Amino acid sequence: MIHTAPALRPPHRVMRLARFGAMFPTRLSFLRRVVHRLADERAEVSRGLWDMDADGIGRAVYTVPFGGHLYSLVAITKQLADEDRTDRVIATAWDAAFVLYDGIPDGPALEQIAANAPLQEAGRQSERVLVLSRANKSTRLWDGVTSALRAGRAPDLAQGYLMRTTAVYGNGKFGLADRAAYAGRPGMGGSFAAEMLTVWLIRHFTHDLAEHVGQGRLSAPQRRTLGIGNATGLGMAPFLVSHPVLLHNWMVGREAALARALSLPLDTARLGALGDEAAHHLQSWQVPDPAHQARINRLRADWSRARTLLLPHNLNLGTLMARTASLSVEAEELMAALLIEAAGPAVDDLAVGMTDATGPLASLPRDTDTLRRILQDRYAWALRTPYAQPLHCQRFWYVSANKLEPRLGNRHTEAGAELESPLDIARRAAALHADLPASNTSVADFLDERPQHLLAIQRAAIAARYPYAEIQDNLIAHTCRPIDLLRAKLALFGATGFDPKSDLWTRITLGAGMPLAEDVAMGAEARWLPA
Amino acid sequence: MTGWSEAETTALATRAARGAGLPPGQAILYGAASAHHLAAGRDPHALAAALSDPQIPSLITRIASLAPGPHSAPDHPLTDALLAALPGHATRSHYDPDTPAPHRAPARVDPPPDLIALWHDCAAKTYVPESEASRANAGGAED
Repeated sequence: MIHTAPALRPPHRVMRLARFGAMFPTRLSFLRRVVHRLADERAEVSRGLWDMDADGIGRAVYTVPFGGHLYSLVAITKQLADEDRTDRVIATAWDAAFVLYDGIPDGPALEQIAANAPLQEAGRQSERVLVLSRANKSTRLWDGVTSALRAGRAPDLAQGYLMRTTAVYGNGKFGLADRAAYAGRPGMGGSFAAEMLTVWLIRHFTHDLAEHVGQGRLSAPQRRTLGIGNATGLGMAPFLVSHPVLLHNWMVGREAALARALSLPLDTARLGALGDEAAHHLQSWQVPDPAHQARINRLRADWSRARTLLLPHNLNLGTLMARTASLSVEAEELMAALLIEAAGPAVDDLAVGMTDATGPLASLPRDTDTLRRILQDRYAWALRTPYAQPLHCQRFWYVSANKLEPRLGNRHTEAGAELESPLDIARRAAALHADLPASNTSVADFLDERPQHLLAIQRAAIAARYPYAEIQDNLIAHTCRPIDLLRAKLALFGATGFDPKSDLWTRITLGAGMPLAEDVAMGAEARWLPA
Repeated sequence: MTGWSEAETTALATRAARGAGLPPGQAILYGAASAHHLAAGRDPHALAAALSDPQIPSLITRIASLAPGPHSAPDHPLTDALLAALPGHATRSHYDPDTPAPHRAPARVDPPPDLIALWHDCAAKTYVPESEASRANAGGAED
C-alpha cells in the first residue's frame, strides 16, 4: 500500500483574515524554537553586571552563549512618572530600555548603549547592537509582587507579566545590525530569532528586578508563570503584506507540519493530555473586553465538544479535523496547533524553512496572456470586488507624519488618501487585470505604457511561485480588522493571552510557562500552552 | 556611530522614491538598489540625480522586466545596483531569476548628508499629517 501524506490545506482556505485572527502558537513558533535550541545547548545565562539602586534604577548585563556565539542583554532602567507610562508609540520615556549586543560590551560600548538605548527611535545604534527594545512596568502586578515580597508573603500570581515591551526593533533600524549580518550563525537564522532571544532574556531580567526591589525571592514555579508582555499596534501589520515570500514560507511550514501530523500514528493518550492542556489554557484566558471574552467563552464551549473527538476509540485524525472545523475556525486552528504539538520532533525540521534566505526567485511573466492566467488563477478572490464602491475602499493605510508609523484612515472622511501606502494588493491586482490588452503582448511593452502596474505584476510573479504569499482579503475594505494580522504574526512568534484593546492593537504575553534560565541550563523543554 | 545599515538605507530610499513620484514597484527597486550602490562604494550623487531624472522610471521598468537569459543591460550609473536588486542573479549580460545571487555580507554605508537630506525631504511628501481622526485611529491607543 502506498502511503500518501495528506495535502496541505489550500491557500484560499488558509490565507484569510478570519483564520489569521484565530491562530494559536505551535511548536514551530519562533520563541519556542529559540528556547528549544537554548535547552538543546544547555545554555547558561550569566549576569555580568548588576548595578541597581534600591528602587531598581541602574544597569544590568546578562550574557548567554547561543549557537557558538555570545550575546548580551543590556538593560538600562530609569525613574518614570506614572503619567508618562504609556503603551502609545508617541511615548518618549520608558521604565527600561534594552539592547541585544553581539558579544560582551566593554566600558565604552556600555556607555554608548546607556546614552542611546533610552532614546529608542531618537538614538543611533552601532552594528554590534542586534536588537533594540523598551518596556514599562505592568504596575498592578509589579506593585503586587514587589510589595508581597517586601512583606515576606507569597505573591498572588495569575498569568501575567511584570513588564510589557512596546517595541522590539531589529534588522537595521536606527543603525542596528542588518539581519543578514548574523542570520548565517547557528540559531540566528530563524525568523525573528534575535528578537525572541532578547524577549526571553528580558523576561529573566524582570524576575531579577522584582526580586531586587522586593528584597525577596520568587519560587521557580512563580517565575515560570510570569511571561513578558507586549503591546502591539498597527506598526506590525504591514509587514505581512510587504514580505510575501516570508509569509508563504511561514504558512507552508505550519501547513506542512499539520499535514505531516495528520499522517502520523499519534499517541492517543498524548492527544488527550494536550486537549486537557488546551482546555486549561482557555480557562485561564481572561480579558477585560466583553466582546473578546464572549469569543473566548464560545471557544471554550466549542473546545469542550472538540475534546470529545479526541477520545481514543476509532480516532481518525482527518475526521477529527473536519469535525472540529465544523465547530468554528478558532477551534479548528487550536486543533491544528494541538496536532502539530502532538507530532513532536517529527515536525521540527520544518522550522528551518520558515525564513527567507534568498528573497523571491521569480521573474515577471513574459507576456500578458500568461499574466492574465496567473491573475485569474491566483487572484480570483480579488477580481470580483467592486473597489469603486465606498465600503470596498473605505480604508487607506498611510504613514503618519509625526511618528512615521503605519496608520489606517477613512478614505471618505479623512485627508491624505492620495498618499496611501501600497497595501491595497487586491485592488491593484484587479486594476491590472482590467487593463490587460485583449491581444497578447510582451509584459515589457505593456509596462512601457502602464508602469504603474509593476508592483502588481511583481506580486503576481511571486504568487505564481509562492501560493501562500498573499492574504486573500481586501485590506482596504470597511470590514478589514488589522487585529487579525497582528494575531497571526504574534501567534507565529509564540504569543498567548491575546488581549485586544480595539481592532487596531492588542496586548499579549510571550514566554509564560516557558523554561527559565535555570531550566534551559538543564535541558528542559518548553510546553505548548501556559495555563 | 558607524554608518547606516543597508536595511534602513533601503527603507528610506524606497520611501523617498515614492515621494519623488515613482510608482511603488519602481520605488522598491530603487530603494534596494540604493543600498547595493552605496555598499559597492559607487558615486552616491547618482542616487540623488536619479530622483529628478525623467528617464529613471523607464530604466527601472526595463530592468525589472528583463527576460531570463542573455541580455544587454542599458548603460546608466545605477544599472549595476538595479541588477543586483533584482530577484535571483543578474549581471549586465545575463539574468537567472531562479538562482540566488552570490552571498554578500551586508555593509555599513555612509550616505552623504545632502543625499540623506534629499531622501528625507522626498519621503516626507508621503507622510500624512496628524489629525484628530488619525490620533483616534492610532494603533496602540491609550487605555
